[in-house]
Amino acid sequence: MAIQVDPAGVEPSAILQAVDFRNAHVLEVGAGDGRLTFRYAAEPRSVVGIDMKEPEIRSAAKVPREESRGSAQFLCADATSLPFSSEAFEIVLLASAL
Amino acid sequence: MVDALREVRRVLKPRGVLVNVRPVTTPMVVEVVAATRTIWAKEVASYSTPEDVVAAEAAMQKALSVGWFVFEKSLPYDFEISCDTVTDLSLYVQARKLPEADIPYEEMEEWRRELGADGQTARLRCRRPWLMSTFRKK
Repeated sequence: MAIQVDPAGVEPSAILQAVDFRNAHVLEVGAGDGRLTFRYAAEPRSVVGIDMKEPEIRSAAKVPREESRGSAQFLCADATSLPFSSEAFEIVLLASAL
Repeated sequence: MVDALREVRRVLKPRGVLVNVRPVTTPMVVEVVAATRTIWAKEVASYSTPEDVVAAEAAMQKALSVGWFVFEKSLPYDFEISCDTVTDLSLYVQARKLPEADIPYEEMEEWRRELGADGQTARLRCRRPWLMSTFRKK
């Protein structure tokens, strides 16, 4: 493998230790190609990943469900105008998105 | 950035949690690693636009000061990228818009080749300091 990103899974471990994702509806802002999303997607009840970068979001959305380890959905959307109703999520994850 | 935080607050349930993961401006470390041993290492700048980091911090401070969120905890960690070759490392660095100027690619490649000649498999590693912080919606 030429490039391994976070091979030890330090980032998802830190997040899952800090917050209880079980049964939560999670929004990930800045999900990109789903690199981080797929590493915790098996824990929450649902995950929606958004990003302004359409090619990356398309790439994330194409990952087969059996590889994505959960019910993650991906949308191209702007963080300053979120296409969701108020009080829809228990957890919002900003992935280097500010 | 403040507008995004206002939206995050809107879509969060009462007492919902905002998790913010981001790189910080502390220098990153580039290394040559053989097996689990670090053979060579150098600190280099970790962010090409530190002003973005400062602006993100200012936006979060604003969100705290107006009472949208309450800070809970922070955890620093190293975000690691491991590469076979300097070409791989350079591709990653360019894709992430990291500052390239201080990364001594030639020196790293030389180390990798020397270790390879000794029969050791060397990899190139980049450790970027990141911070995870959690905030609770008020």
